[in-house]
Amino acid sequence: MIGSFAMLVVGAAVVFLLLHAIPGDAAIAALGDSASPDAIAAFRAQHHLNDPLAVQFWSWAQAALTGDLGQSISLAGGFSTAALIAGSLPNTLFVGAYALILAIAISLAGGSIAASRHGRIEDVLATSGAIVTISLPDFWLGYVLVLVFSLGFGWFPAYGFTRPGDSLAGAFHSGFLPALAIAVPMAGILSRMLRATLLETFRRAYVVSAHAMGFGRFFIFWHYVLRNALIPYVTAIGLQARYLLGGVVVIERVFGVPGVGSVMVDAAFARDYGVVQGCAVVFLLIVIATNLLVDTICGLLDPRRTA
Amino acid sequence: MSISRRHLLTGIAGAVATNAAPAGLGQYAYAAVANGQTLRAALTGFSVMNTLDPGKAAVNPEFFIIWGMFNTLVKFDAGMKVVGDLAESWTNPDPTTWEFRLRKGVRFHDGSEMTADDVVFTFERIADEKFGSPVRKRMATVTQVVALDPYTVRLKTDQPFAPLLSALTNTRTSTQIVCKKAVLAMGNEQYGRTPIGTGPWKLKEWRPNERLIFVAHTEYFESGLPRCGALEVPLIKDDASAINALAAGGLEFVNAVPYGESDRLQHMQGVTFSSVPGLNARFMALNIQRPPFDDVHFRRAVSMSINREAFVQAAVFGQALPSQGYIPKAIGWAYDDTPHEYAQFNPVRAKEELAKSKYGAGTEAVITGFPDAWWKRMIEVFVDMSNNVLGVKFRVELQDARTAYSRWTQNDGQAWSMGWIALCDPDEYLFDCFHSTGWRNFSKYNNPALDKLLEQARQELDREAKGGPLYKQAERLIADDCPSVFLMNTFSNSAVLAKVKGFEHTPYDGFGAQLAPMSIS
Repeated sequence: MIGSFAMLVVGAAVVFLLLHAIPGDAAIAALGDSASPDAIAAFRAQHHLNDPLAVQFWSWAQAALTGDLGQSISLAGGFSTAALIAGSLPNTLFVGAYALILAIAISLAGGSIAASRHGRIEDVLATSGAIVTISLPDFWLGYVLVLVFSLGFGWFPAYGFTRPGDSLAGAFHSGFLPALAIAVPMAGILSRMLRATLLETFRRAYVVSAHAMGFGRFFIFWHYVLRNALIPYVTAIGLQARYLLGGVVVIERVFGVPGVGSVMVDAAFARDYGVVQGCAVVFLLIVIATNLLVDTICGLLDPRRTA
Repeated sequence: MSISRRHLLTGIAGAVATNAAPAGLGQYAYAAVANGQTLRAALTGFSVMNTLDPGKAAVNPEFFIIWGMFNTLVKFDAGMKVVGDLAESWTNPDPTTWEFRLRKGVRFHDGSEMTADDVVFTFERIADEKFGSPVRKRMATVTQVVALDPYTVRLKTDQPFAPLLSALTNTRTSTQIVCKKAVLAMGNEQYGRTPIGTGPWKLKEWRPNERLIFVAHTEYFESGLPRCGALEVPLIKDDASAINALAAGGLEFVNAVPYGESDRLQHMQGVTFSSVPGLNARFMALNIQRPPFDDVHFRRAVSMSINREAFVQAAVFGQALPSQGYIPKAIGWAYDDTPHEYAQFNPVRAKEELAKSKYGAGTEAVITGFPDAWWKRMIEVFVDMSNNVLGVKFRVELQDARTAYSRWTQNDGQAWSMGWIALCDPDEYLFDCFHSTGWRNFSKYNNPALDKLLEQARQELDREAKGGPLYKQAERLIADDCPSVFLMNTFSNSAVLAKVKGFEHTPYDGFGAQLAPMSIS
């Protein structure tokens, strides 16, 4: 717990310092290029942008500790940071979870087939498919999906996302292409990972002896191989899940998913320091939570850890 | 990244042309309202909007929305002529007095009537230093605003100020008439998020960074408008995505078509492409206080080294007019079309001027600009052309737009690739940018003859007949000195689905102002 909290504080401070190290100004972002110098000066004074950095950070941190992440000043003036995150985080989580499920489904199938048909044509196809998908830039894949499934077949919207709160069916429909664009490269990595660990497990002595005892192939795969091979696989999913938070901004942009990554990037460009930090804290919290979750699942899979 | 996208999208063209996909934006969440259809008009290239209060608005996307929610006393028609908006008529009893007769029966979105009281409140609010309008000084010439009766307003200016009328049409002067009652009831900050205006579109929901949702203002004073019952404005940062959405039928209108896509859209079935020269100037602003651009001969040499016709092709796929001055062609009465020597491509003369300057071939300079879309090519082509013709060693430095701009305002750098869109009086171009006291004259250009001319032109109430020749003369004085190298006047390109009727493309690009007459068949 203390470690996690320290990580939060250090993370927030690093983001704060980095943000102030880049040139630019919230006043110009908010007031535009026709603002007079006195208007800019008044804006800076009103939002305490002239205070020493340490003072600014301290007042932000004090409020944040009481759960108040402040208000936007140059991204969406007057909207609270909490409202901006609350409006966008569910979309990110939905598309992220959707992508993760697709990636797990694809990689479980691909990895298992490749490993169990090791060296045969199915393996070659699955393995080379994985390498191709890992190598595709995700924004390019996004456009190709739009080209084929939206502009070509007309099955999915080319742009725009229906919030799960507005319509769950709509969210699944409009979120499919962005989730797939995120899932495909991830599935490539995960299925290669799964294939490698499965193959390694196949060669383990206990698997060989299970064969010698005359158990069926599927019985062995299910009871002896898969569960053991899943531990590194789940850890890898945990690492990939972090990428879902921030790394999918490009996909959010291509498909118009109003996610928290886009909010953070826009806030950074607008130098809306409070909003960027609010997003960063939420990201950190989610990463910490994901780590805990991964550790828990690995524990369940591996009785030695819980024993 | 942008190159691969473009290539890819060129490839998409064929596939798109014959497909009318049913899927679209918001198809689940917002069914068309009872009294008509939902118009989906994207604001492309923007995702950030900070306020919708006309008194506080400062950046283009905010202005674009405000055009549709508010009205001004007067406005430009499609031919750039000033006509009445909330004012029916106006007179000048003397050169410093303007009397506006207001329309009767104009209703705000909350149902209350707009009267002279609201007009007075609007002007007093933006003049109030404490309110902090970013453009307060722009209207500082107005010294007094009085309601003579509920439908008559009198404005006094401190000196004869002819550009006042065009300033009043404008979102950049904060002069959209706000609802006094609503502002006082909710306070300034809240009013910026839930504004009440008189315009055709009434705000229903603002989802920051995502979209704005409007319903028709059923009591709008122009009868029959708006034609659609609802309006959705998604904020689409990635302009290629906006074009895809349009092609798939998920949008009816895209306000800014990337120049590289213009050719494709002209040939796309079911889409009407529209292009007019905008009210902008694109140029290299030179720091005349620092070497090497402190030398007028060097500046002239650079200006003559640019082949503007080729420049336009290379930088924006031909989607611009080459320009030699600040005032765009759309303001015909002040536009100087006599070729100016220093704005013509002439390598021989350019080298002669270089020989006369303190600096020679091999001179180094850093040109600062931003990496966004064609802005990047603009600066690269400029540097390439100067380096090739003059043998100088200019170098490109890219920074995000706000940083580059804020460095320009501090005169920090040697030259900057910049643009300006003024709405819509020549005074706003020349006086603001080149008069020795102009607020945008960041490099402190000082030419007493020009100052005198601009001061005189500003007082000329007969804008076209008497003001026009003065502005043309002023443009020639500026071109002699080349404090900036003018390059082009880019087009404003829009695309709308062919089934949409009633779209009229205005050169001033007032997004929200164009949407009310549009209907979907």
